[in-house]
Order: sequence, then structure tokens, then C-alpha cells
Amino acid sequence: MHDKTQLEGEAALSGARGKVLLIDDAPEILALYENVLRHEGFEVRVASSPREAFTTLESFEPDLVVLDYMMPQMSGEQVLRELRERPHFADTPVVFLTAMGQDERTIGAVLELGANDFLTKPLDRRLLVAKVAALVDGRRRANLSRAYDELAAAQRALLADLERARKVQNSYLPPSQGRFGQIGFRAVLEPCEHVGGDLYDVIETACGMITVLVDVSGHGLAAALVSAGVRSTLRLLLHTKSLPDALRELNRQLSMDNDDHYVCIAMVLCDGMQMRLVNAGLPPIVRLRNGEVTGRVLATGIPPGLVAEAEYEEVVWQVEPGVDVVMVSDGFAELFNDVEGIGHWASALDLLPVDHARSRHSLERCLQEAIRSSGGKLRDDSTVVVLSIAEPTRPTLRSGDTPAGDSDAAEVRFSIPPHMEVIPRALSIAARAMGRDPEDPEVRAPLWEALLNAVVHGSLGVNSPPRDRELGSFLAEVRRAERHVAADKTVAVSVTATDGGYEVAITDPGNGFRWQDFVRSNERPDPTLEGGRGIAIMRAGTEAVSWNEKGNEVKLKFSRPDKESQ
Amino acid sequence: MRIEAQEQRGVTVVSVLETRIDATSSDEFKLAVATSVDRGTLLVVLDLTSVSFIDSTGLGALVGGFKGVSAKGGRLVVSGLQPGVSSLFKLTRMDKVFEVRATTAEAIDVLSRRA
Repeated sequence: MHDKTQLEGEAALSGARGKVLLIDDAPEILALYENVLRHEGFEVRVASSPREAFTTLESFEPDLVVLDYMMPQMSGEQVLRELRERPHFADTPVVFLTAMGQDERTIGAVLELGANDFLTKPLDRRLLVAKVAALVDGRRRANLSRAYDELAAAQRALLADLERARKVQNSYLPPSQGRFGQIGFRAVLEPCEHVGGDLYDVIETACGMITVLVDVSGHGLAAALVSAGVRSTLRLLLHTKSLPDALRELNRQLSMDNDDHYVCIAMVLCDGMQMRLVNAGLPPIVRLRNGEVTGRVLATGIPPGLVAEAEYEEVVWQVEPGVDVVMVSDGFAELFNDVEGIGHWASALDLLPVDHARSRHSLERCLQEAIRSSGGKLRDDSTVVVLSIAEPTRPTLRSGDTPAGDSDAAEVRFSIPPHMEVIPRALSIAARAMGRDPEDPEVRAPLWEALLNAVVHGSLGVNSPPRDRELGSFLAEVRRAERHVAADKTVAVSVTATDGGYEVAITDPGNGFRWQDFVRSNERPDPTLEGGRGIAIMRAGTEAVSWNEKGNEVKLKFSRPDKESQ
Repeated sequence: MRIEAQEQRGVTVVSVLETRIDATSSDEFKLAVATSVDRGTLLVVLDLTSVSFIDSTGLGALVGGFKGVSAKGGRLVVSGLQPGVSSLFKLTRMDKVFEVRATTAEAIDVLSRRA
């Protein structure tokens, strides 16, 4: 038999037009046909017994088998049958070599068994090559087609898997827009592949609200897996550790992993109007006011996971309404060629106030525009997180059927007729928004009076009785009279800072009730004025009381305590 | 990845002749640096004069190369940083990890004085 390595070498040289297995018990036949076929560029193996044939079949996986019909150990027919029983070779083309004079019935039977063609010995060379070529080409094309289908299916499966992974990764993200007291939050993230190593997170801790932006080295699935782990770790660490300590611990953990990934990370802790910032490796965190850069935080430590020992610091900022703080991943900064973080991109970022109706989409639009301008293809995951400091919140009273809950300090629900608890709650919200103690009689009395009348009369539309009756009994009377009131009335309370103090505006549905019918003049309280003690109470402790044309909004002007003492 | 290594005054100067060290080339880079170091001395200058861009994977490979040299008791100085790379080093505080010199000549000076 030929040397195996020689065979393989020759096959490589021949540039294999196809693989042919010759099975014949006559060595001289094998040698002859082998030469002919090899000369034509086919890769050929030979076998002179059925056993040798099946061994070679498994390892060689020919595109075609040329099989002698008459063999002493096992007839060609039996070989064919056994061949066809093996699923892998069920449709391998087989050409039978028959001796001259074989009758047509046998040939017919053999063809029925699954042979594709036959050749009569002695063979005509050209005929041998022609038949072999035709069958091998057909077979190869079929193989290619099947291989292509299998690859396409495998790719679809992989893509579907990646798509599911993307959905999981998205589910880890907090909503892309939200409000936490005076801090408005917006974020947009664009991975450069299905999944990536960028992520942002918002964690509310006892010390304040922490916003995190993470950029794991590399991108794709591996980076996504690391970022998921980092997110979990941070969520644990940040409840008990300061920002620098959390980074130190994260670095320790990542350095212990036998993995080459590291993490560029920026975090901002918001506690009232104070911010604590860390930035290890990301482009500078930028502070903006009216689109101008007024501060930056960068390089407060080495990205966790790069080196075993690292130190971390933090920066403290005082902020005020109108300030925007922006964190970006370097994939985003790269779009503007601005890794230094001068903030050229700041003007591109359409930083409208968070309450603005369009703002939710404006960040996304900016990012898409930036991607488009830089050539349309993201080279790295791209993320932007914006924290916007807004004016203090508007508490709102809403009527409805659900019981009042403490989950949202800005909103108190009650049903009509209202229960007693609604008014003190609204009062507390308004007082705190002014930075005042709700129990302070100076603010409590006027607020109580205004709220009481707005809620009771503004919602119920009844005239105020003289103030010699308890609210409770008055409401009981209303219930007894079964006045029909629409259920979804709203009384809104908003507190705005002014130069000298605060203005509290209370708006009721204006259900036939007008403030000007209560308040006769803007002068200081005079118990002899008509309208009763209620008006006097509203005036005391306030600088001014005013109302709108329609009569459904009253404004109480409070001055700041320190100003008054001057 | 095109990397050249030559010895000068007892210092192995490894010059990266590509403009980018990124995810596609970082493995090659790591290997090339390790091989050069294995063959040469433990005093290494990494000449990045041709490099205009290093991505996060590239930086990881750089630090890996540095750790490899340190682990063998060697010393590595980086030279010829272009502005983009210099900026990356600043953001990631690589100044706390690497010694950096403006030119390869200065870097060789620093190391050969010690030798």
C-alpha cells in the first residue's frame, strides 16, 4: 500500500478536485485507476478488501466510491448495502465496476440498490474520468449547499442568542430618564455590537443617590459578562462604603480574577446640593452651566483591575439649579476626537431642562447624530449620562380612590370628600420645600388656611361657613347632604424660590369658588374686615396674598426668616 | 504586528511600528514584547513614537507587558507618546504605573545609567 504521508502530500499537490475511494481486490486495477484519477486532480485512496474499505471510508470521507462488483470476501452488492445503511454515507455516490457480459437484470438490481452508475471493465479512461467527475461535482455542490445551510442556521442561532443576551443586559439598566428630588437623570447607551461592556446604574443609598458609569475594557460578550459582575459588586459595596473605598475593594476583587479585563468607572453621589465624584479612567466628568464648562473631574484613580495596588480619591462639588453634570464613556468622546474632555461635545448635547417634553429623545438624537457624523460606525460602546439640577419639586395633591401612600413625597391622593390627613401632609410638603419646619406657626397657619379652603371649597364647590365649626363635622354634613362631586379633582401646590424668599401657589379646580370672594383687600389683617378670621390668618406670616383672575389660584408670599430679622 | 527590537547600551529598545494597538493587535503585541524581553536584557524601552491610538484592550496589553518585565525584576520605560496616547495615560493615571520619557534617547539614558 502507499505510504500515508506520501498520499496526503500528493493529494495536497494535486489540489484535490474531489475525493475518490477505489475498492477492488485486484491491486493492478487499483493502481491503474488511481493513477488515472490522480492525474486528473482527484485525491484517491484505495482499498482491496471490504474491511479496509470501511476503515478508509470513515477516515477519508470520500465524495465518491468506485466499487468492484465481484470480490471474493464480500460481494459488491453487500458492500453497497452496508454502505447505504450507514447514515453518514447513505447518499455518497457509488459507481460499480462490472465485468464485461454482466446481464442487464443484475445491473438493474444493482442500480435499484442505490448505486448511481456503473462502468464496464476494461475501463475506457475518458469514460471513467467523465463519470467520476460528474458524480463528484454534483456531490460537492450538494455538500457545499448543505454546509452553507448549516452555517447559516448556526449563525442565526448565535445571533438569536446574542439578541437574548442584549435584552438581558438592557434589563439591568435603570430607566433612561428619571427624577430624584431635584436631580433629573438622563442616559443613553449604544453598544457597538449586540452586547457590550458599557453600563450605567443608579443606586439609592442612605447617603444619597449614586450614579455610576462603567466601561469594561474591550467590547462584546466577554466585556458584557464582566460588566454584569461589576454592577452586582458595586450594588453591594456602595451601601456601606464611600466611593473611594468601593473602588479600592472593586480593584482588589478584579485583580484577583485571573482575567485580563479592567474597568474604567465614574461615580457621582448626590446628597442634596452636594456632589461627591470619582473618575478612574473615563473622560473627564464635566460640569456645565448654560452650556459652558465650569468644572471637570478626571483621573482620581487607576481603573480597577489594572494593577493590584491602587489609591483612590474623590472630589466634592456644591451645585445649584441650572447646573448639568455629564459623564461619558470614551467611545462617545472618541466620536468627537475629544478624549481630553474639553467638552467640545457639550454644545452638541442639546441639554434642555429635564422637564422639557423633548428632552427624553434629545440625548438619543445627539448620540445618533454624532455617530452619523463620524462615519456611521461605532468603534466602541458609547454612553452619555446627564444629571441636571432643577428647581425644587412641586408637591401635588390629587383626588382619587386609592388610599394615600408615602411612596412619593410630591403627591398625596385622597378621595372626595377629603379625609383630614390630606391637609397636614400637603402642608408638610410645602413647608419642607421652603426649607421650613412644618410646625413653625408662622408658616403653618397661613398654609393651613389656604390649603383647607382650596381642598374643601375648591373641590367641593361649597361656600365657606363661618369658622365656628370643626372641619370634621362640616365634612360629615357634606357627606350627609350627598353632594355629588367628580372624583378626579386636583389641588396643586407649587413652591418657587424668589429673591426674598418663597412663593407658594395653590391651585384648585375652581369649582365655582373664587378666592377674590374671600380676600377683600391686600392690606394687613383687620379683624373687622368681612370675610372672617380665615383671611386674617392667611395674611399673617406672609408678605402678600394674591390671586388670579379666574379665582382658582391663590399665591402666598413668604420671606426668608433671616431676611426678616434684618 | 510590526515590532522591532534592538539593543542599545545594554538596553532593549522595543519599537512598535503600527499606528494602533487595539483589540485586533493586542495579543500579538503582548507576545512580541514578551519575546523581546526574553531574548534581551531586563531594561526595556518601549518606543511608541508611531502609535497614535491605543484602545482599552491595547492598554491592558501594555500593562501586561509592563508586569511581565517587572515580574522578572526588570524595568520598563515608555517613550515617544503622541498626544492621544498621552491623554489616555493621563486619564487612567498610567503615570503612576509607567515611567515615561519624551524621547527614546532620554529613555535609554535613564535606564543605561542604572545598568
